[in-house]
Amino acid sequence: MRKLLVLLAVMVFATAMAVAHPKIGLILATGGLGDLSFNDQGFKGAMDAATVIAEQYGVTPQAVLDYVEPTSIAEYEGFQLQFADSGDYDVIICIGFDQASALETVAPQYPEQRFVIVDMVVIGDNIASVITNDWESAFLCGVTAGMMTETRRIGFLGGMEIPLIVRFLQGYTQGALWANPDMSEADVVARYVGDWANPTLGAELSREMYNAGVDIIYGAAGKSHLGVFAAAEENPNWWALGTDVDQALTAPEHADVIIASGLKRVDLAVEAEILQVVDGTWEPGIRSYGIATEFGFGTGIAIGPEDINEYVRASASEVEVPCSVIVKLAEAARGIADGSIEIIID
Amino acid sequence: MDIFTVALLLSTLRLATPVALIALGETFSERAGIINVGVEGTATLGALVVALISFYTRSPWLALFAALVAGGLAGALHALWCIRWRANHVVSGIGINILVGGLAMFITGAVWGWRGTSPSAPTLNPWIIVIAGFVIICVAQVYLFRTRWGLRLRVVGEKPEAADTAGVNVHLTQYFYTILNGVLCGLAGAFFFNNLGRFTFGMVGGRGFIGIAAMVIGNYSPLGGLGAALLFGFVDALQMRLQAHIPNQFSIMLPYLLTVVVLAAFIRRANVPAALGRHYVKQ
Repeated sequence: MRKLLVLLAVMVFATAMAVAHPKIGLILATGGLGDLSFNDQGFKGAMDAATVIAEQYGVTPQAVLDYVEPTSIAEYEGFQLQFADSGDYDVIICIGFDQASALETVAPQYPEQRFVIVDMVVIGDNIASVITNDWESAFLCGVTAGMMTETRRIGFLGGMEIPLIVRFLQGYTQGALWANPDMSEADVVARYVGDWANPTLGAELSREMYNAGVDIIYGAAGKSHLGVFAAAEENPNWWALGTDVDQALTAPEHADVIIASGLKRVDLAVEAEILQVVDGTWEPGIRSYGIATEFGFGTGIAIGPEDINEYVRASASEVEVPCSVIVKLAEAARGIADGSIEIIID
Repeated sequence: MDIFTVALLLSTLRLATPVALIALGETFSERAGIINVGVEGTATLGALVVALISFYTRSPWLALFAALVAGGLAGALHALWCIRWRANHVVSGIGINILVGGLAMFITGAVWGWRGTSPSAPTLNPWIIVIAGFVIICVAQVYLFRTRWGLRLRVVGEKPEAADTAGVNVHLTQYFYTILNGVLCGLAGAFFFNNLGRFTFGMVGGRGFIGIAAMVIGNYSPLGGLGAALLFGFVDALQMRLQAHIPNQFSIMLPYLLTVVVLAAFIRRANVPAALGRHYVKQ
């Protein structure tokens, strides 16, 4: 009998030891790994955090991080339920705004389970919503465009005129005017595709802007933005700026026209969320990441051949950028961080 | 006004070409009595295949040929469903649209690791397809109304029994023109790819359905379809320039609004082939 009890105790102890390290559940967006964008960044952030945890507990990162790649929006709810129901995970990270409606159904059923959703706001006592100050990246892109334009006219391609995208435009415009006092708001031309996945129209609108005297186009139009790069290739004086990730890296064939890309550092935000869970400081609510936030990171720009600081990062772009632009960008980022530059958004 | 420029004309031609090609294809198949609403998916398939073949062989001409074959195969599938198995034409067409949607996501994901998007691949000058498209449409106009094969085609769609009695192989005719419709959609898809240099799911963006509307507005004639496509292309190109003057929410709507209005005006006058959508069974 005593032997049995000892055996039992050993087994319980062993089991307790095995589950003692924190575990992370990651549900990627439908684009899946390899998109060189949102999913890869979210995965990198989770993996970085898992590596830190794994070192502390002497296990492998793979033991800490479980992830799934849903292939359609309909699968989100199933994976969220499966992860939450297992009770194994200290936090479940949901990448992408389209997981929101599934999360609204699942999260209230598991009040003890912590959830993080990236790029969307879902209110709940067990949910943290991670968003980024996109207008800061847009401001830095505006600074670049304002300094590099030779026609003193720059363009912006939006997917649809919704608040999220209008804030990109506001940041971009203010950045350009800040860096180039000769420009006025009328020198920033904005066009909208009305579609997030139609690069054919995106290219057509870009040609229209370029023909109207614009020489650099930035934008926030999802896949429609690919049309800007295709159009920019048609004339040696036409240039483009990328969005969210270093698009000179994700679309290498256009590295000769992409001067720089605004950055959305999903990786840093996800890593920060997980580490907050591990050290016990995590709280539900809405958390903004960006230069002018309590975290001090989350946005930036990819430009030039090397990392300058946390915000001005290296890019795979083949376009030569004058040093003065880089210096000005560093100054702009500093200004945003210390509050001397205030970006006014609706 | 500085809006009406050569750039506007070029933009109009680029936007009109795929619509005109799809309208022509649909004209052929509907003249033979086969409705194909799968043109949207067929054009998407063409764009996907041309990207795939161009990426691997680096030969845009071979890729163009492959797109035509792929479009033809999609047309053949539709023809089999509608003629051999007597499926509802519209249901089969919708099936093709859904099938291609899934296929595009699966293939781009499996081959390139990005769901819905291909990397860049070598292209032809898209103007080659624009010019070829205009030549094809003019030839088709003569073919449809001035040759005996054109007459046979029209009879098959109007009164297949009469065509049969006169010794025309009704089903063979229907197979041929439904496949031809697929080939033309494949060409439209190839245009989308060559215009951009890569495939993305969504690049066809409803232009297949607009093509069907253009065919109706053009009253089932190749030149009429071209005219309607040019009108659509012109308004689409114009709205991009009007965005500087009127709210974009309204201007983006213009080409579609125009299509609906013109379609409503023309649909009653359209000479719809009498046997459209019917399954011909030889007595």
